[in-house]
Amino acid sequence: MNKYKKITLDGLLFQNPTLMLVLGTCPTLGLISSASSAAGMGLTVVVILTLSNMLISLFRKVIPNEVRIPCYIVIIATLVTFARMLLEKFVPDLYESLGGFLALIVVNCIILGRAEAFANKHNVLESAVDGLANGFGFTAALTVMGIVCEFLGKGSIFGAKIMDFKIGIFATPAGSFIIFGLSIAVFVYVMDLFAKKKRVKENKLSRETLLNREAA
Amino acid sequence: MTVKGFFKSTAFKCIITLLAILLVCGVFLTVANGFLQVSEEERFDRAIKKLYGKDVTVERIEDLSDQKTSFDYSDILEAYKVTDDGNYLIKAEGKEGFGGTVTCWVVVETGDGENGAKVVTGVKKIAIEKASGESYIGNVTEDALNRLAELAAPGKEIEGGYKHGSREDGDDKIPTGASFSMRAISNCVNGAMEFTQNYLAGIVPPDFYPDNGFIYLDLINKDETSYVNNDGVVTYSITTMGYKQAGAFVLTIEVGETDGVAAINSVTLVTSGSTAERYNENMYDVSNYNGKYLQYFTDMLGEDLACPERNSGKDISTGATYSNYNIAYACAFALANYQKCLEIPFEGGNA
Repeated sequence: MNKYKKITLDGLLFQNPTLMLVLGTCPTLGLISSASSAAGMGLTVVVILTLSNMLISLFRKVIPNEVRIPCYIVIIATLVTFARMLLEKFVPDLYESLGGFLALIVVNCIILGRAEAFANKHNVLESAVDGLANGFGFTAALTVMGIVCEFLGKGSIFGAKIMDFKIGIFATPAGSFIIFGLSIAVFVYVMDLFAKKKRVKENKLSRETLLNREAA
Repeated sequence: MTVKGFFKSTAFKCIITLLAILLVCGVFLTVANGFLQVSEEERFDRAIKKLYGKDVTVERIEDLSDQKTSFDYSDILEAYKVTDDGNYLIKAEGKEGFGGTVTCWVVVETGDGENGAKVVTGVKKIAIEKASGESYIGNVTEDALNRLAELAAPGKEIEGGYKHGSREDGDDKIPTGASFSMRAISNCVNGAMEFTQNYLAGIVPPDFYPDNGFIYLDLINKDETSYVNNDGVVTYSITTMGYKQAGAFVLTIEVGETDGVAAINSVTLVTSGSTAERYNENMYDVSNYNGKYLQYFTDMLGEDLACPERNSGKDISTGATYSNYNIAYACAFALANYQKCLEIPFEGGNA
């Protein structure tokens, strides 16, 4: 498989940071009660994660191993502060709705995790693709859960009223926790099915190849 | 290690690398801040757009020094008269959010009163400007703010979220999943309305308790606290401000004189501000305060009546420390101001 395709699929599906690795749970639980906040947080993380991955990859040979974590934190914190400035200036509503979670991106496990696990071992392009894939994986998971939570908890989707019926708990972090758990269960189940199907297909292929060889 | 050795060492390389990264990042953020900083003027314009959806002409009320701008639950930061519609635009900071305060813009509607004088008739619109430390502020939707504005009526204190220890939904409560933030916002609205009402009436309400030299007022809701002197026995009806997670407590405390010193005759808990049943169960028995002098409370809480650590081993560390602290503070207030209450008759509240 093409390595960029593998990096992309890993970030989006097989190693999805939210649903498979259960990283970044703090903003997930805090923000999925509103789909627009969830999507906004996701997109902010995409930008910060991609840039931090690229910068860390670019400077990986210059940064001594002993101080790599403090250096990563400073780089990530700078990007987060810059993102906060941009959002406050140009998208003030989103800036307000993300509240304290925006500043907490600095200590988001996904960003530091990708820096440590991927960016400091790969080149800039690969790191950028990894950042984008993981960022969009995070965004997609948050947005889908946000839509479900908002629909159940407030009867709306992205702020647009759909129905009057609502279940109050889903507008709170407790409801978010329930939806988060269920989403993980469903996602892991589907990925398991997919992996099983893939294994069966591969086994079938290798058996056929073996039989063909024997017949020949 | 020699000096030359140090300069060739990994330690030196680490320090230089860290310093270089810090320097570059610092310079970058300084430059970015120069370009992206949101000025006060820009914030004000944004607030106007959010509230009115168009530009309006406003007149700033420059001198607020002769007005009461500090209320128990909120402070008034700026005030404007909207010349287009005659309403008032108030910037208020509401206390008692989850992690701090919430700053809001409140458009207070005015109309003609019975004798033709301008009076507050309600609230037209509310917009949040700043909510540092409120992680769930995103849960406070436009709808919730509009409902809060609809609830606001002159003389009626609105309760956004829960203010007196209740999480139940109700006609005058708006559950959002951000109860503490809503409480701070409703405090902004209450403060803005009270300020505007006073401003329109041209009155400068006296601060009854502080102006008369009463002490230990930090945790006392001065607007909802009163006392009666019956031949040397002072009966207080005290509402506290709430402390941290504990909400406001309403207490009746009777203080008399024992051996020439003020002592508690009885403490009755009228309304508990505890936010959960387990805190009610864990609360210190208030009958233990009967016969206690001020010295008992200052020994326990210190002269400044600070809240002790939750596991400090003090009498009030019972697993409901914040709730107990509200009550102990109220008792200390009652005892410390006993002589004042004998000298100064209560004149109908703080404002």
